[in-house]
Amino acid sequence: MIKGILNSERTLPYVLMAPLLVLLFSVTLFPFLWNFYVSMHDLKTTNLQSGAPFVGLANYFRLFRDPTFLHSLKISSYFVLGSMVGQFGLGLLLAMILHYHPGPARVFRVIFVIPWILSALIIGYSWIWMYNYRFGLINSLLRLVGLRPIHWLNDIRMALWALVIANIWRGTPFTMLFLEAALKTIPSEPYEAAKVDGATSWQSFRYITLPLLRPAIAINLILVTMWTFNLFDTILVMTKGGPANATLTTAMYMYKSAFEYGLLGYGSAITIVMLLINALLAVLYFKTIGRRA
Amino acid sequence: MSKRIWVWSLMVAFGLSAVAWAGPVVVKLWQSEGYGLEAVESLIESLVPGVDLQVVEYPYNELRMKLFTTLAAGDPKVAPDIVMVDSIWLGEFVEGGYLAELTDVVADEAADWFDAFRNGSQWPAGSGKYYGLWYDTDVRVTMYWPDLLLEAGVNAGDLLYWDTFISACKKLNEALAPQGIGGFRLDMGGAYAADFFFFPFLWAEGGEILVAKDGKLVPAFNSEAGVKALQFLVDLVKVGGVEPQLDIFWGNDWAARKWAVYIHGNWATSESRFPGTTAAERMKKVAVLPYPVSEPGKVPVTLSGGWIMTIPAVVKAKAPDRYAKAVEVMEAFLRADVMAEYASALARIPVRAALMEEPYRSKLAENIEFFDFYSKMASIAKVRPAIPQWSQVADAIFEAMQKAIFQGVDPQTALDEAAAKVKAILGG
Repeated sequence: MIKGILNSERTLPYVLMAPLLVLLFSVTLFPFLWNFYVSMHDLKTTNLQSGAPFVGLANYFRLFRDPTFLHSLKISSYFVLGSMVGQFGLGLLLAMILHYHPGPARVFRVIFVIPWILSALIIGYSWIWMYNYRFGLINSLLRLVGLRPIHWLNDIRMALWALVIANIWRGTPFTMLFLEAALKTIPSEPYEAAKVDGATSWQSFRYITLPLLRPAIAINLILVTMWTFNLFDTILVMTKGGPANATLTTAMYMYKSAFEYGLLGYGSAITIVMLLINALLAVLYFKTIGRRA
Repeated sequence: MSKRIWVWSLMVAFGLSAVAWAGPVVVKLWQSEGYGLEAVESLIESLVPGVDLQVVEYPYNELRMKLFTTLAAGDPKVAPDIVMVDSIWLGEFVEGGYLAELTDVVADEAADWFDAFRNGSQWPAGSGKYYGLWYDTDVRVTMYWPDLLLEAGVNAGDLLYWDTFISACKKLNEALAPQGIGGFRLDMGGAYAADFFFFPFLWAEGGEILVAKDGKLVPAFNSEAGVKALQFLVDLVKVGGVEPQLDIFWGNDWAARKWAVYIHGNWATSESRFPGTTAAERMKKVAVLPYPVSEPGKVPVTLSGGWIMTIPAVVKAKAPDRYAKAVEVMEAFLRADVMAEYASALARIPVRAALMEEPYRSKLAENIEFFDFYSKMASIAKVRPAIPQWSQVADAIFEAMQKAIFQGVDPQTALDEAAAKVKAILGG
């Protein structure tokens, strides 16, 4: 019988895929399902032993009545949008520079990539010091050119943008490497043809480079969006969601709800909503950028 | 016959060596990093023969979740025998059924303890049901460098009242800025800011954080006292030119003379921040004062934190032998002479009256700077309510502080908004 299964063209692929599917189920699908199960219960640190009551979708309904959660969604969208625009713009610019100047690129590629390989905690602490009002590098430079120092992390209007800058600094190297690799895959013929037709550099970029980069751009934007939306360690180190919740992203609020407030069911519900938002964004990107590509 | 004697002799010898092999009973104790029970480990082992005390440390932020996940398993094999819980976690742990009731073990002992710590070891507070004993505390005070005050032309007496405190901060900032020294450090990096900069002022004005109403706790911090306390902080920043700090170095930067004045825990004046110095030497370098009050005649209040020594419920329920040994260890630790040894080694403030008397007082005063002052502050200290929702309540109050200080929101409005939030958190 086993021999029959292994020899059958219909069943063999499933047999070969089975170990991978089991692994995938145990490390991805099971935690997700368990998380969903927890989100349907009023699980708290105070009832871990006695058992949490089933509450159905109550945690989800509560979420959308919770002003702090809605506020965290707004903060997350600003954070993601700011980081994405900055990372993509700068990353593309650096990728183009490195691609068209291969000589110095070897050295600069290594330098540019340093922020990406650093741990989020180190980045957080480094930026805290750079933003320090009294001793920080950035305020020292501002003073040097006769400008007033800024309360980067203390000011409710500035704190989120200070985090965005730190996140752009960290994430740009990834976009740069990703797009540079994609640039290398574009053949030279379309550029040569465009040159013969008298196209300017801008026209070549606009009508050849960008369209051919679209699949890479779509994947890059999806990854950057998801990572930024889920980012929490740098924020935990730099602002802990403050001042006055000005940097309280959804990921940060999830952490606080589950691990500081002990509301494990509620925290799980936030995680599921975050997952749905991520999935929705991925679909949107593919529909708008991917399809055109 | 002789064969039988040989066999019996061998069996007895094996039996004895097996007993010897069994060795001492291991008692595992979990504590937060830096709360070094190991300072009295050998003393306790000598007082409880046959016990090998093993102290395991976890970073503060990890300990709470580590305890929850371990104790929730309900398996005595993985549970420690004795645990130290932060006093503000007590309600959450008791409500969750993680801690053993220890009234019969500690009630007599507790009679000698200062009110705040005796009540704080009970759940609900003041109910007479003990879940451990508050063995370790600190007090928060105003601390300053006298020479820096002198240099800036500021009188130490100015630090006693709110209005003169504000003008002193301004003066200190202006005079010491060229040297890169700040006047006054105001920590605003996390919810702990309220412990240092809001609750003591609120209490001194006669306010409370929460009060019981119809058998339920309701917010009370948005009272007139709370508004006055928060307005003082706003004035410190707006009028006194104090820059709120988002990072915290737990007194290390003040001890390194980066700031002239600081309101912080007594650990900031201890040997841990001034390595290689004696208490007498530290008392010559720095000075301490009670919290400033709004006007003469008002009595300053301090906030005390600390740790409660307790035993997991699963050990009491499922491993009675281990529970009995853990109780023995706990009783040994709670002896006045052992506590004096511990407090002296780690510069902790006593939580019981007996340690303020001889023969312990001299020994403690030798190692703990400003011992009499700190002990008196501890005897009148107030503590935070250890309710399960405390971290949410503390966050809401801290948010109000931030709104008033950073966003310019009127203190009454900020506190009212926080009170509404807290009411909902408490199920109101």
